[in-house]
Amino acid sequence: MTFLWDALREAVGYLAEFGPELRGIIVLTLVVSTSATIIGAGIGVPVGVWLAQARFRGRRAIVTIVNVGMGLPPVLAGLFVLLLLWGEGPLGVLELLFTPVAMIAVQSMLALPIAIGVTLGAVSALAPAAAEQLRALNLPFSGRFRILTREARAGVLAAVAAAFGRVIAEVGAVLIVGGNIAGETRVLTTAIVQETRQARFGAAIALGVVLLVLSLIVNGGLTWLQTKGEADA
Amino acid sequence: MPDGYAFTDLTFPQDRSVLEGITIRVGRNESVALFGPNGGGKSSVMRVIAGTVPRARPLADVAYLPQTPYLFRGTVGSNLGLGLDARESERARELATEMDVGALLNEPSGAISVGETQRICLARTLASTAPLLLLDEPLAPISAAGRPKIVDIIKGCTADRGLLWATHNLDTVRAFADTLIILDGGAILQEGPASQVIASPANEQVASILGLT
Repeated sequence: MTFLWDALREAVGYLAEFGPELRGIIVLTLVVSTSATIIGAGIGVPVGVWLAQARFRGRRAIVTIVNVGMGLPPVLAGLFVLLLLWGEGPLGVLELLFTPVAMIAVQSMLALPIAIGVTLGAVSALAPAAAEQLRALNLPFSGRFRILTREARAGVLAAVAAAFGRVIAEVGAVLIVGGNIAGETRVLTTAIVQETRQARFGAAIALGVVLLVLSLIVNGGLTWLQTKGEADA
Repeated sequence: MPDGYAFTDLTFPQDRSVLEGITIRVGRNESVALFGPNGGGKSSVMRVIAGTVPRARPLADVAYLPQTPYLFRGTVGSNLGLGLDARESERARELATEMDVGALLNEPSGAISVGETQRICLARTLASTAPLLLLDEPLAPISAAGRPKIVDIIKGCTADRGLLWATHNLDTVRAFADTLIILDGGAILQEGPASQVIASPANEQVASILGLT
C-alpha cells in the first residue's frame, strides 16, 4: 500500500509542478487529436450523410468497409502509414515520419470511419416521413446536408465525440509513426506508456488524470451542444 | 407547362407487384384524383412520378406533398421557404396566411399540430411554380370544418397547371376532381370523368371502393 500512496503523492506533485514538459505534452496531444478529429469528421460527416441517402450498386460493400474501418486495429493503421512514409516508401521523400504531421495523418485515418459510420447510422435512423419530405423537396446536396446534419444533430455530434474519443485515447499508431520523441512527438498516451515502463507510476497516474480531464472537457462541450440542440428543436 | 403529361408503364423499381405498369395522364388545368383503399397504389404512383423511391428520378418538374406532413428542426417559417426561390417564398407566406397559419412562422416547428403542419407543407407545395402538383391526401389531417376553405385555395393555385392528388374522401372528389381514377392492387380498375365514374361504377368492386354499395 505504501507504494500506492507514494505514487499518488508523486502524481500530485507532478501535476502541481505543471512543468514545461507536461505543458508541451498536453499542447501536442490537443493539437494532434483536435486536428485529426477535424479532418476525420470534416470528411466523414458529409460522406456519412451522403451514404445514408445514396442508393447505388456497391453501396453495401462500402458500408461494410466503413464498419470494418471502425474497428481497424490502430497498430495496423500505424504500420500502413509508417510504410508509406518510410525513407524508401512512396511518400518517403516528404520526410514526415516521426513528426506530428504523421501522427495527425494516422489518427485521421482512425477517426474517418468512425465519423462516417456513426453519422450514417444517425441519418439512416431519421423518421421515414423526414426522408420522404426531404426527397420531395429535391434539394441539392448542400441543402440536404444542412437539413440532415441539423435534423440528426445529436447523432452527428456523437460521431464527432466518438472520433475524438478514439484518437485521444489511441497509443499504438502514434507510437509507431511518431516514435514518442520527447519534446517532439510525445503525447499523453505514449508518455503514460513511457513512464509506466520506467516504473515512474506517479507521473503515469498524473498523465492519466490529465488525459481524463481533457476528454471530459471536450466531451462535456459536445454533450452540451447535443442537449442544446434538443432544447432548440 | 406542356399541354399535359402521360406517365406510361409506371412501376415500382424492382417490384412490379406494387404498380402493374399503369399509365396516368394529367392535362393542363385538369384535376385528376386517385381513389382507392389503403395499399392500393395511390402513394406509390405519387412517389414514382416524384422520384422519391430508391434509385429513381422525378419523371417531371413537380411540386410534391407527401402523405405524412413533416417539418424539420427550426422555425415554421424556415421550413416554409425550403426549396423555394424568393418569389415563391413570398407566395408561400401569403398562402400560409390564407390558410390561417401565417401567425405561426416564428414558432418552433415541433410546437404546432399535425393539421397546422399539413397547412404549412401544403402552402409550400402550392407556392412552387412547378407545372405539375402532386398532393397525397392533402386534406386528410385537416378538420372537416376547415376543408372547404383549403379546397378553394388549392383550386386557386392550379390554374394553368396539372393536379394529381390522392384521397379517400368522395365528397372532396365531387368538390374538385375532373377525372377520377380508381386504383386497387396497383392496377387501374376504372377511370373517367369523376361524375361519370361515381354515377356508373364499372363493377361491384369499384362501387364497393367508392362506398356506394
